Amino acid sequence: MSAKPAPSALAAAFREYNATALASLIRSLGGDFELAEDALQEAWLSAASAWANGFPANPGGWLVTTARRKALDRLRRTAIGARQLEEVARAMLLSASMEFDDPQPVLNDDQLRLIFTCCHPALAIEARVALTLKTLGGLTTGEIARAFLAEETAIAQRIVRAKRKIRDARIPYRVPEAHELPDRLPGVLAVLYLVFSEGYSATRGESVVRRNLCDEAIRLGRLIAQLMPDESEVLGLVALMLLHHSRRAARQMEDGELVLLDEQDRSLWDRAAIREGRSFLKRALSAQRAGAYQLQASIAAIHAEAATPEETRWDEIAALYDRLIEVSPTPVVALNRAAARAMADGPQVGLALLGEIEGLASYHLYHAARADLFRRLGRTDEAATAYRAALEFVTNEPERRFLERRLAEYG
Amino acid sequence: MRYLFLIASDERTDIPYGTPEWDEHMAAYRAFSAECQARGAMVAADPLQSVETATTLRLKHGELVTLDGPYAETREQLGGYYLLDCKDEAEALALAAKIPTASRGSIEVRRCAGHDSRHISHDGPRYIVLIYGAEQDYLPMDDPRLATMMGEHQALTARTLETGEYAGGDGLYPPSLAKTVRVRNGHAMVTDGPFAETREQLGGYYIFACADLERALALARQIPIVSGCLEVRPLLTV
Repeated sequence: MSAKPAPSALAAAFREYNATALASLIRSLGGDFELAEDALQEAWLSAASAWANGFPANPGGWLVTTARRKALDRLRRTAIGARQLEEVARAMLLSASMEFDDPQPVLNDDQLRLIFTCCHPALAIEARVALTLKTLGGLTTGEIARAFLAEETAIAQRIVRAKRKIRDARIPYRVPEAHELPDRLPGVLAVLYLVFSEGYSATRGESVVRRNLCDEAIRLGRLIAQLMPDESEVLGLVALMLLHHSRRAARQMEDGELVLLDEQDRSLWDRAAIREGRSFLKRALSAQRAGAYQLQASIAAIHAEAATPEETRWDEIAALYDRLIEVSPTPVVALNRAAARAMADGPQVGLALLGEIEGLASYHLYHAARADLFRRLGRTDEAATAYRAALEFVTNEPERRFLERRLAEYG
Repeated sequence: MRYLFLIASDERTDIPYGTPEWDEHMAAYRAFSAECQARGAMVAADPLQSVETATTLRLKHGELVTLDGPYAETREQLGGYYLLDCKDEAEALALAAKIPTASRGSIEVRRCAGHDSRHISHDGPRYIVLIYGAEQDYLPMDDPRLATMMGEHQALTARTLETGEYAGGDGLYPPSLAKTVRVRNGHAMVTDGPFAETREQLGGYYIFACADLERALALARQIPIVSGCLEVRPLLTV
């Protein structure tokens, strides 16, 4: 019997290499997602036995090479494949020459190309997000479904449809030209922020911070910032992600329990990330075109400045939320604004603002926020009822345990 | 007289690809095309990719917004077209009844308005851009914007002829003059008006030969419209 790599080692390799190998493969196969995915899956099957005696020196390269051969074999076997084979050959020649001639690693980044394809405006926004999370973030359809409170089958269908449209309508697999960028950028940034948020507060499981996703979103954000240094919202988004990410070590105790912002050990905050985030924010704000990401980053920066929770400038934060709700009038922003106003002007004001919000009845944080304000007003019965409502909708384990602790105190 | 035949059916109940029934369906189409050739009526014909590949540019507050999907979510959707020369409407309606899909879907018959409509064959990928608008929003004949608009159409045609991207296009007589043909139980039924009761109706189209959707959308954006939307659909290149 031949030794097989431990399933856990293969699973770890899958997490590490699959997304980048897929991005590279999609490009070299002329943008055919389905073919790339099928071929990569076959390559993993081969890897399970070929890697029995140890991993190759360059597992990512091994996967791409093997999968590309499997894809070409597949194309040769089908009639329509013959024509596609020609295009793939052209695409491969093109990419080969680009790799040799173009010294700029940024333009060669397959994932950047892929993100602009996945975020193409000809795809529905829900499809863009799902496709990006699946292909670039490596999330399962189940995780995506939970992140967006949708049925898993609906998400799977959405992804299949999007891939089919990319192939059949020929959505190009390239970074847009300079003049196309203003139209294409907001959709890409929205997707990146969703990827980051998904990593920052995982919808399920034990780890609050799924660092891979956050790192990936920040990495792609930096890449776009390098490509478009004058786009203030790109800089604002990178700043926002870095400032949130700086708190990762303080957000969770060793046993996995969640720590609220005002209870965090601020000495654990990543000073380097804060500095870098603030420097991105400074560059962004110098353009004098404050958008939603810059406003949110400004809020995060004020939190980062406070040495203790008591020193937090809630009046400034509440004022920034007042501006943010103008730019992006969503129920979740309204929820955060209510919480900030409660800190600046008292729980009564916060509760009144929460009462005006519609559409968050099945969002656990809405009930948690109400519970917290009732608690601070000493209205313990109402607090307990609201904590129970929050528990009904929470999906994240650490958050569930936090809410249960609070309920035990007041229930 | 040149007529555009819009073939509409419900994709969800279309004959599935690869089945023996599908082979028969295709054989019927080949026979119909051969008849059109023999009569000297054939100008052009193309199947479209599934409606799931549709992208719509909709005019909102003076700007064209890109949206996923067709101009309207109707039960029957455009699946292909024939462009045929007929001596009169009677001949056009008789031909429409012979299109195989007439027995299960709808064939909308529209007279072309252009005097110089050209069709240029291309091997590579092509996209049809369908211009949809409400008839009551059509510019009146004495509106000065109409002349500007016609000038822009001519300029776009000239530009894309120059670049080799023009593959066809025409304006159509108003939707109120449309006829729709359906064959049920062997009987051809002709009704007045388009196949779907939507506010916006087809007013004209372009076919562009270009490498990808990005370019097709960029070309579509150059089509002058004052209201409504542009639906961009890839043609099925066989």
